[in-house]
Amino acid sequence: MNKEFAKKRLMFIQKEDYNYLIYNLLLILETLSCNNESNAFHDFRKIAYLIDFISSSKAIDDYSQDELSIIYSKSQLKKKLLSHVLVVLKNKEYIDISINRVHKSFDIWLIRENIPQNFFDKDFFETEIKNINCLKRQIRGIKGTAIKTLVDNIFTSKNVLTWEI
Amino acid sequence: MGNLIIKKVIYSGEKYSFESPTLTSGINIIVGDNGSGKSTFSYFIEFVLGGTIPFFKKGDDGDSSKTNNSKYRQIKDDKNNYVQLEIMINGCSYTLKRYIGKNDILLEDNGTVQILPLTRNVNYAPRTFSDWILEKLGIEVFELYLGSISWLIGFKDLFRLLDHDQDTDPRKIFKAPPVDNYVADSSITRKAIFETLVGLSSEEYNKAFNLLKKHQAERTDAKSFYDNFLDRNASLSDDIENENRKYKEANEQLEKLFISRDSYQRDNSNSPDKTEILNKIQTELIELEVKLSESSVKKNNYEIEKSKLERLLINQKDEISQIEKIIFTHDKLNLFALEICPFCMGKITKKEGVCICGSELHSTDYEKFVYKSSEYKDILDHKKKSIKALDIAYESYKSEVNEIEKFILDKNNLATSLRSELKSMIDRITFSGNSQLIDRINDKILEVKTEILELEDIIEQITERNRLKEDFERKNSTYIATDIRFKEIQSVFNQNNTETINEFNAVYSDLLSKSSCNSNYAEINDDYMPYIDHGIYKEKSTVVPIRLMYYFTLLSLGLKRDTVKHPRFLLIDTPEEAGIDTSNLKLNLKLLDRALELSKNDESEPIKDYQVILTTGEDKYPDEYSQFVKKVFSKANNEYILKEIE
Repeated sequence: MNKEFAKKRLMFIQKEDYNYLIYNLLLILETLSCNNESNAFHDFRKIAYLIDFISSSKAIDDYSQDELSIIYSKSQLKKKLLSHVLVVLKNKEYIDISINRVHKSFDIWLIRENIPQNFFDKDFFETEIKNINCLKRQIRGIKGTAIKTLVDNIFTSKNVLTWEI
Repeated sequence: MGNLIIKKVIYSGEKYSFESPTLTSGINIIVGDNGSGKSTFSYFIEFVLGGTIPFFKKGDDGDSSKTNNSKYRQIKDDKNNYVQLEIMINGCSYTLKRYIGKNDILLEDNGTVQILPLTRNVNYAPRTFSDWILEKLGIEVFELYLGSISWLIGFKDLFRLLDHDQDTDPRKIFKAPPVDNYVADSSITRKAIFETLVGLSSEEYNKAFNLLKKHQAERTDAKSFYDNFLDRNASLSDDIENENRKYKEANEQLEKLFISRDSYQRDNSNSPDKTEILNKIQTELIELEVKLSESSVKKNNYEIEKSKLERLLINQKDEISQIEKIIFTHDKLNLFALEICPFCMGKITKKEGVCICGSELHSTDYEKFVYKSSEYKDILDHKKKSIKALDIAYESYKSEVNEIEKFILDKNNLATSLRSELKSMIDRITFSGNSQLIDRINDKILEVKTEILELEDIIEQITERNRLKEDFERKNSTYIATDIRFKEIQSVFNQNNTETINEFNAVYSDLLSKSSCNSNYAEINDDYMPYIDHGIYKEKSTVVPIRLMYYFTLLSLGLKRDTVKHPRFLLIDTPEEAGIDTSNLKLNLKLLDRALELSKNDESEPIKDYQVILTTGEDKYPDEYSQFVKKVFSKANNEYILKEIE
């Protein structure tokens, strides 16, 4: 049992943990007020790129080009994990999903009343909320913008080599 | 020495042509009345041998008095026309060809053709036709000087005494040069032509003469340099030894003055006891600087480590807070409780050793794990432990850096105080002697230095004077030696020349006494011009024999003496000017026999090869010579030189 857990612990990748992804995703939807279909967050894949910036205590301008490159490439993996999370959250009816035919992806929004009370604790998630607000100021129309525009804004403009899948 | 014979004269153009009969050595007579083309025949020969014939110049009608003659018009208007000579020099055959209006000769020598230009160009045509023919005839060419210009005598110049033409005033003896300028017809040129033909010039003599001129000029230059120098430095001392000694003494004095000044200054300074302290402080200061720089390198290294640790610490703290949030999320939402399938929301009835997908797999081999709350907490504890170790390391670096900073600050303060001490100490070392004395010594030093400069100048001038004197003396002795040598050569040369001139005079006198001139005595003066019966006036018609006999004498001498360079060739064109009687003309021409006779050194000796080409009028030649007539042109019978091509 102990040995088994040791392996499990070693295999723990914090940045790819489901719960880690979930709380960041929910915080984004909450802070950006995506409460219904008309306020939906367009193309959930954008979240994959944003999560690392949200959970860190570092300001977005302080990242080096190398760090940005690593974040960009790891974000590709997060897209798949996020799609798992979407299924789980949809099943629990924490969020709702609609198909976006323009972006060939899903738009998502929060179903606020199904989320447990006191989950969005402003003090506990202080850093994250601050970071999300910071991103909102830096990236125009963060909710509705196309994934390509977002990547250009965060990575390509800082000389990071990017590709789109 | 050489011998030139013309075998054939050919003219060829698109409209007209002419080919002479074969000419031989000895006498050749071309007969024709006025305007039938005898002169044209002479011009053909002269043209190919490099002469300038104004009548043949294409497109030049300026001189109408000479060019209105129709037979020259034919040549000028003809196209693609040339004159060709077949010649023999010393028994070897050559063909010469020159196109009308062109300035080069096509020379065919044994099947090979080369083009020889007539005018010299140092860059493009260093070798001319004249060079070629003179070389074949064994005639040395030498340079002539007149003022600042120098030139070479060419075959064209020598031809002036080989061509007895009818255009020249007979009193001038020499055929008029094609271009009338003071160089071409200067007496120096005429003398050179005569000397070259008669062999009065010798290479050895000319070389010696040129060398003498060169050495003379060098000597004059050296002398004027030397004299000039003496004029400018009249009061210069002769005794270089004395000046050198003075120079040496002054230098020694200067040295002594320097030493005494330095020692006086040293003795009167109050510094010696402080020197040691100064050295000590300096050493200390240097050691301090070394330590400081070492410490700052160390500090920098620690700073780098410290900042790395700091970054690690922040990451770790971030991760811990994230895990806390993960646990919070897990507890609040409980999405992966593992009792209910998160994907289908059905209850999990999971067998051991099987994955959700149904394949056989132990749960520890999963690629992706779902953690329970307690497991998350364990992970959190591990992280917290590691952060403690990081914290300790970070703190220790921090204190280390602080310590070094304090050390650097201390040592810096010490160094500053040492430096100020050193400065004040140096400032305190002052001169405490008598400055008036030093001033006096300095003045004296200046005085001696000036004296040394003056002496250096004098010595340099004396050296220069001696050099100039030596140079002049050397060049003078060279000149004297050259002069002696030249005089020796000159006397031999003059003797040889005197003999030749005497011989010329004897032949000339003999011929002229038998000619229509009927003189008693004839000789040539310093300019090699005839001087007849001590200058007594002769009738005008005598100028013809005077000139003709001059040419005969040259031919005769050429046959007689090996030193004479005359090519034993004579072209006589219509020698009937100045109103001479036909009988006298015949008499004079007949004297050619006498000239040939006189060329013999003894009776039995055969006459060497020679060629005389005479163009003359009908019956205007000695009757005995009728066997030598090779060609007759006759205007009356419409037999011109040029035949129209049909």
